[in-house]
Order: sequence, then C-alpha cells, then structure tokens
Amino acid sequence: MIAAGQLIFSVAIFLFCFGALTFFTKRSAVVALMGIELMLNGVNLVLVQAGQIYKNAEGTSLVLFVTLVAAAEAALALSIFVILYRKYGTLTLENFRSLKG
Amino acid sequence: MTDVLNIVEAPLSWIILLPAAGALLNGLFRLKPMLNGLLATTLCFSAFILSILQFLKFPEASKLVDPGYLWFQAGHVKAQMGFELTPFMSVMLLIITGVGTLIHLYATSYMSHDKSQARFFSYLNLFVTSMLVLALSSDLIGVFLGWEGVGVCSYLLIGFWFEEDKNARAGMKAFITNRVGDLGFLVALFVAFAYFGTSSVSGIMEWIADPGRAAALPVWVLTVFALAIFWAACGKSAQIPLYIWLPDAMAGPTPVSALIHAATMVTSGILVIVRLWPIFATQTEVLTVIFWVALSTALLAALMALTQRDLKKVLAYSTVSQLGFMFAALGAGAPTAAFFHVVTHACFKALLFLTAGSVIHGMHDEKDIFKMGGLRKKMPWSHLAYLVGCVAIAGFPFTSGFFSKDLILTKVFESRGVLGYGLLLLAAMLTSFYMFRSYFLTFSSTARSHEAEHAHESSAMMIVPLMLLSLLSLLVGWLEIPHMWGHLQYFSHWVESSGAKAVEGHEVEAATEWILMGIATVASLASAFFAYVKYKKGPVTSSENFAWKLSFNKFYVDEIYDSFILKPFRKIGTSLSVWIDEYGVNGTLHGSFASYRITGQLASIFHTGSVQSYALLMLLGLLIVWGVVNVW
Repeated sequence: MIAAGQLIFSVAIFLFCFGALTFFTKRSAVVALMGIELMLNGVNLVLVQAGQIYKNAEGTSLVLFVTLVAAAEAALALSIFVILYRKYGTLTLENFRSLKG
Repeated sequence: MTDVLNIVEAPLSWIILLPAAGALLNGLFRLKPMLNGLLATTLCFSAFILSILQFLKFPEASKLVDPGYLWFQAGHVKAQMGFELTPFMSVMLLIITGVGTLIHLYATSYMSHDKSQARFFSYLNLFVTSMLVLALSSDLIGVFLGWEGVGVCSYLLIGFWFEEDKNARAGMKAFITNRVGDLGFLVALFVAFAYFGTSSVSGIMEWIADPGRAAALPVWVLTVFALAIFWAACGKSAQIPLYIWLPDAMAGPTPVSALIHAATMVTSGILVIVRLWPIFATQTEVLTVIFWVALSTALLAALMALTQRDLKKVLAYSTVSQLGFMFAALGAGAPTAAFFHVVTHACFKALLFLTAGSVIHGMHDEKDIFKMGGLRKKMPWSHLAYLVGCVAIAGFPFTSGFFSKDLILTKVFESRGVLGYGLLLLAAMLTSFYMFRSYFLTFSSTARSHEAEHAHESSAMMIVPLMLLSLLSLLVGWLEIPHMWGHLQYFSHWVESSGAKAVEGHEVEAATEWILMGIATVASLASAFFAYVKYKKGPVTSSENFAWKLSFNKFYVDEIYDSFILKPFRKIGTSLSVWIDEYGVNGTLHGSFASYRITGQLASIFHTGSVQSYALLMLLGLLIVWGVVNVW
C-alpha cells in the first residue's frame, strides 16, 4: 500500500512527464501548449504537497502566482495562434523555423 | 660679441604675427580674387615696416630681445618661445620681409588667373611666418620649429599644382631629402641638451666663451655639433650630397621659386651657421670639410647648368652653385663674405626668377629657351631686368655680385691657397657663361617658335617689383666695398657686432687684391663674351659627345641615388610588406576571424529553428547540470 503523499508525488511526476512528452512530440501548436499546461499542473501539485509536508503556506501561495501567470500565458499564446493561423493558414510547428541559424 | 652689451626689449613677436594673421585669414575665408593677394602683400609690407623700425634701433642697441614665454619644459630641457635680433639678422629680416613683399606683389598679378589663389597666398604668408620664426628664435628649438615650418611650406608650394603627378612628386622629393638633412639638426639639438644643458643660442654662446667650461667638454662634442649643423644646412641649402631636390623644386609657381628656392629658405643653412659661428670658428677641420663640399657643389652645379634647356632649371642649378660660393666663404672662415653674398644673391636671384616668370608668363608657359629668342623687342622691361640680373650674378664691375663674389674669392685665396681659388674662379667663369647663354638664347636673335612670336610684356604690377629688385641688385654691393677703396664696410660691422668674427688668417696686400679683382673681372667678362659669340644666333646644335651628355643628364646623380639608395629601400619595403603585412598582420586577422566563423558554424547546427528541439536541448542542459551537481 502506497502512502497518500507518495501517490500525489507520483501523479505529479506522471503529469509533468506526460506534458513534456506531449510538448516534444506533437506537431500542432495547440496540443504543444496543452502539454505545457500539463507540466505546469504537475509542478503545482508538487508545490501544494510540499506545503502540506512542511506545514507552511508558501508552496500553496506560490501556486496562486503560477496559476495567474499560466492564465496570462494561455491568453497570450492563444491570441498568437489566432494571428499565426490567419497569416499562414496552419499551426503545424515545423512550418515556423525563422529562428534557424 | 661687442664689449658693452646693450640689450633692448622690442616687440619682435609682432613681426611674426602679422604674416601669421595673413595665413589664417586667407586660409579660413574665401576672399575675392586679387583681394587675397593684396591682403597678403599688405601684411607682409607691414612686417617690413616693423622690421625697418627695429633695424633703426641698432646703432644704440647691440641686441634686441623679446623674452616671449616658456613653451614647454621636460626635465632640464627647457624650450623658451622667445625672440632675439642681432644686427646681421636684422638685415636678413629686411630681406625676408622686403623682398618678400615685392614677390607677394608680383604674385598677386602672376597668380591672378589661378583658381586657388587663397590657398596660395595662405601658404606664402605661412612661409614668411616660418622663415621669421627661423630667423628670430632665441632658442634652437624655436629655430628648428621654423626650420621644419619652411620645409612644410616649401613642400606645399612645390606641389601647389598637385593635379599633375610630376609636381606632387617633386614636392615629396624636396620634403624627404630635407628630412634626411633635418636628422643633423636633431643630432645637434641632442648634443646641445646633453653637453651644454641648454638649447638657447645665447646660452650655448656663453658656454663657448667660457674657456673653463669649454675645456671640460669631450673633444669630439663641438666637432659633432658643428658637423651635424652642417649636415642639416646641406639639406636645406642644397649642398652635395643633398642638393638633388632643388632643381626639381622648380615645379612650383615661379614666385615661390624666387622667394623660397632662391632668396630666403635656401640660405637658412648659412644663417644658422653664422649665428653659431663661434663654435665653427674653433673647428678648423669642419671648416675644411665645408670648404671642399661647397667647392664641389659650386663646380658641379655650374657644369650641370651649362646644357639645361629649361630656363628655370638653369636658374635652379645656378642657385645651387651660388649657395656653394656662400658655403665656400664659410669654409674659408669668412662669415661676412658668406652673409654679404646671401644678401646680394637674394636680390639678383629673386630678380632673375621673377623675370623668368614674366618671360614664361608671356610665352604661355613655354620654358624651353631653345624655343624662345627675339624677346628683347617684345618684352623690353623684362629684357632689361634679366640683363641686370645676369650682369649682377656674373659679377661685372660695380654691380652687387662683383663686390660679394670678389670678397669671397679674396678670402678663399687668403685661407685656401691657389688651388681652391682657381677652382672657385672656374665656377665663377662658368656662372657668367651659362647665365649669358640663357640670356642670349632668350632675348637675342629672332623668335624660334609660335609662342615667342606672340609673346607679350607682363602687367605693371609685375614690372614694378622687377625694377625695384634691379635697383637693389645694382646698388646693394656698395654697402661693403673693398678695403683699399675706402671705409664703407657695413656688412663686416653687422656680422662682427653679432658675434661672428672671421677666422684669423694672413691678409693679402692691396696689390695682390687688385690683381685678384682684375683676374675675376676679366674672367667673367671673357666668359660672357664667349657666350655671346657662341649663342648670339640661337642654339648651337650640340655635338652630343660624352661631356655634353654628362652635363645634360646632371652627371646621372639622380640615377645613382635611385639604384644605390632608393632601390634597396624599395626592396626592403616590398619584402617587409609581403612577409610582415601579408603573412604576419593579415595572417593573424584572417586566422582569428576564421576561428570565429568555424565556432559559429558549429554552434549554428543546434539552431534548427524548431521550438521543440530548443526545449529538448534545454531539458538536456538541465539534466547535465543536475547530473554535475548531484553525481559529482
């Protein structure tokens, strides 16, 4: 029987890895963004659990900030996607390589 | 030095500041044509008036001083920007500003069609300024400043018409040859700092006058000092081996040739030696060297002048030869004779050059005397002026050249004996011959070219200076007449009261002096007559024998210098440019930027442009950092 704390950490690591895998492998920008959100949630989970273990509110309050930034980031990213789609008619990541050195 | 030193303060710097103002005004503002020439002339004339005022102070004063200010000090080296005037320099001052004014006036008309007159007059005034600094500075550093200044102005004015490659090259040749000479001046300055502890002329003179201190010096110091100054003088005053720049300097406008390359700048070597005469007077070996170098210069240049076809070239070689006469006088221990000839030569050579300019102007820039002829009727005033100049330089009786050349020949006979005298007399005969050759080819017989047929007399503004200079050329000599004629020796008085006493030698008797004078006069008259017989009908088709070729090609000195000095330097330069520049400097540069490029190319492999690969790399990086921190 696994302890509740360990379970929560396992879920968090799973979420993070799953998100990272999604980000690295998916070709669509929207899905990649979803992968990033998953990774963020994994991290949030760790922060909350750590706050529980050490009995202070710092971890939990940090989660509020992360959520805020994530919301802003999602809004920004989605509006960029809209513009990109209008301009190029696609959101496949391979098409955006203008940073190539 | 005179027994009672009567030093008077005088505003000498004003004389220098006037032409300096002219140089600035003409250089900075675009004045209307003619106006810039008149401005330059006026300022030079004002300097002349001031010089006369200073000159008139001399019977009472023995030296005028303007303390000036401390220019810089480094350790015990002190450079005082001060000015002093001795009697003989005040005469030179009159020549510089007086003849300078006449030449400025002449140039105003001569250059009236040129498109960059303002530049010309700015340079010309700057030259007068530098020459005055050279003549007046009380410190050798100040003299050196003027010395370099006149060199720069000479360079600028020789290459004044720099659109033509030939002129620009002549300017560079003059400047570089002078630099070789300037090395001597620097050496002299270093010796002065190291052994006298001062560079002021009066300070050095005090040192020499004090037997105790002078004896404490190593023997060679004064010899090296004197030789170094003479080397510098060789550069500036066109003596063997550094005379080669002067004939090429004729590329400049003719007023420049008259002012810089005949009347003033080229005599500055003699002036400096006369100022430092007490040192030279003790160095008999150095005087011997000076004498023989000068004698060879006088002869060689006279031989080269015999066959030249360019009117200005004839005058240029004649100048080199006459400078040789002046140095020969110094070598014979007679600074008075040298300075006397400086002054008379300034008058008649400026006259000859300006007349040549007038002729060339009238001939529409044709300089070849073989294409002239018959100009006596068409240019009567120029003809008169040139005749006066020729008579004076050849030393016909009672002209200024007669007195000064006779004095030199007598002094040479006294101290150097028959051989030196005979060779110098030969040079004097050649002078008379080649000058009258150029005179007859230019003015007598009939016109030999289209230009000569349509030649016209120059404007009054050019003729007036010619007439004034003609008067001077005829009369200046009467200021120093031979001893047996009476007591009228102003130049001896001026030079000796400035501290330059002749080296004691045995004086010849009056009878001998009469004989010498007779020989010189007959010699010059005979040579002139020979030139008349040979060239009255125009140029003689020369049989191009070996001697003629040697003279016409200037003894191949330029070619010798080219193959023995310039070529090795060029070779060294080329190999340095290949090995150091190409492989060394360029190699380092190319190598370093190649290494940057390769690094960049390697790094750009990772810059795929794909966001996901960047993220992957970040993850890898994080893992590596984590690994380093935790595993190690």
